[in-house]
Amino acid sequence: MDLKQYFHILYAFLIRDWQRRWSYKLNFIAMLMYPIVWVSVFALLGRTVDEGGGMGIEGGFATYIVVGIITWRFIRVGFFDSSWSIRWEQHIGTFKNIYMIPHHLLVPVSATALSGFTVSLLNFVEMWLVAEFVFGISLNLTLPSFLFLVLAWLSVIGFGFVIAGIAVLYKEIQAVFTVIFFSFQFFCGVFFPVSSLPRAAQYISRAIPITYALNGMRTSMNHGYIPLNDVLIMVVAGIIGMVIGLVTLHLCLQKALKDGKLERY
Amino acid sequence: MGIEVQGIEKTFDDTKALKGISFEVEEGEIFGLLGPNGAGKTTTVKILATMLLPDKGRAFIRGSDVVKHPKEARNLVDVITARDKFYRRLNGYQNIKFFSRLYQVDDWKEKMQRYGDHLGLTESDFEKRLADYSTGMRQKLNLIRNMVRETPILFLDEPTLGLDPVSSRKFRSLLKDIMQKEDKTVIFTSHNMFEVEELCERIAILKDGKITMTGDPKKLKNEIFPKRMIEFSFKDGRDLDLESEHIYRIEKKQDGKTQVYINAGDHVHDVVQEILNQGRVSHISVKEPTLEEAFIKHAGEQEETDDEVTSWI
Repeated sequence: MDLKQYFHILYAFLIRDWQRRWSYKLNFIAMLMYPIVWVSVFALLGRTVDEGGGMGIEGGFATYIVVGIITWRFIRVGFFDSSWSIRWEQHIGTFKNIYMIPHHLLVPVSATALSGFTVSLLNFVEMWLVAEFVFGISLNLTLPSFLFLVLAWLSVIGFGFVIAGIAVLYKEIQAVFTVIFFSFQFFCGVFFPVSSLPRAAQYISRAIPITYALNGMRTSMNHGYIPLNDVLIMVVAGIIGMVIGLVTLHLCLQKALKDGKLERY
Repeated sequence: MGIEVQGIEKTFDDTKALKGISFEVEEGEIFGLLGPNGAGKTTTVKILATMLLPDKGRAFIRGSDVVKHPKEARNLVDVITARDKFYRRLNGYQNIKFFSRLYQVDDWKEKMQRYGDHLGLTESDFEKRLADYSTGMRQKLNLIRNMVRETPILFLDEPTLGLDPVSSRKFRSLLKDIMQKEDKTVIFTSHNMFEVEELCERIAILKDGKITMTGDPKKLKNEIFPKRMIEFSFKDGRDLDLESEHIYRIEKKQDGKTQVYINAGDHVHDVVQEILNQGRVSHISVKEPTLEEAFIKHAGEQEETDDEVTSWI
């Protein structure tokens, strides 16, 4: 399969997904409003804390928490879109026709994830604009910091592929992983510094790549550079995650092909 | 050869779904797979469509091994089932456009309108959301999705399931028309014996994961029901004076009708002709079993009796 064909398929998924979103007009508006409300709530909360003396966090709590939720949301959408892709098509009954494309299943799975990336991007821009121009919280966004954010997104895609594969065999598993993924926001320093967690929990934090993504984004914002350590960890985590994700997806699809669980029409 | 299946076996947990089935389908042939629930029809189709791996045996689509070269096989086949779905929030055009993009079909709109005309779907139908489609309309669009893709081989796995009798008949007639025009190689599975008999040139009967009979529907009916009954009455009420090596029993009924039991085959016509030659016949009929009756008997493994011959009358 050449790159032109891949972009052709990616384009098909992009158009389909935006047409679907647009068909639910109120949901579409909610999809646009939700990040604005979300960033506003946390910006106001942060500002209130800062006005009351703050928490001694570099750059202020408002900036800390706004960067946290913007980064978290960007990464989270990537994870859910990649993990839910196959299961969703199976659920609504269109999987067979997607599967009949003479390409590996990774093609539609990654196309769905990339299509979801456009939503992440849109939400990110909204939140960034609201933070910057409504609340005066500057993210000092530069090209390297944006690329670092994309790297963070890529680092969870592999993890999403793992779930996508397992969910083909065990429908319920996605709910379990959703809970686990949500728990990451407490461990990774989205809302409060990792140092405020109990010591044992801090070990868990260090094992989750998202912690480094948030640290890198905050350092970039406060000091204008991204620590090389964070970049390297994200790259390594991304590569390892992708390898594990692809292997798991392949093994699960092979097992589903053998057990008759790939297509249950 | 369009499709070649060699000794396919498949087991799910403790259930042996397929016990070494083999068959071949010629290019352009419409081949029917008949069998009761759980006989292995859908399992066979899924293996051929690369959606399921067999435990043993091999299958080829135009020479491509479905296990070793699934992508090549998928490029040649498509599957239509009654349970196929679309994106409910998108309209007919948007749905077909999406799948056409995936299948790299550029002239999808032109084809869609052409097949739409043929199937009775108008432009305004295509502009409706799939959520507003009836089952019959959805199944027509499903057929269009395949026709736009133009694969030379098509698997129709109980495509009329859930359609009412009128829609089912229309769909069948459209299928027949399109299959003949497009010269597709088709494997058709159905519980509806009538549509199998109507559409398929050759059929295989699957039972407990094995193919127990293969042949054209007429030949199979004759094999399963080797006897026919001719019922008639002469206007003057006289007795029949007929001797034929094919007749094994003649029965005179109280209402004046005579029943002749003969062996099935081309000589049915000869016996009828002989009866007609003997005098003025007021009534004559040949009782022919349907494929459904043949299938039920075959599936049930019943011993044929004369009573049973009359049971399908």
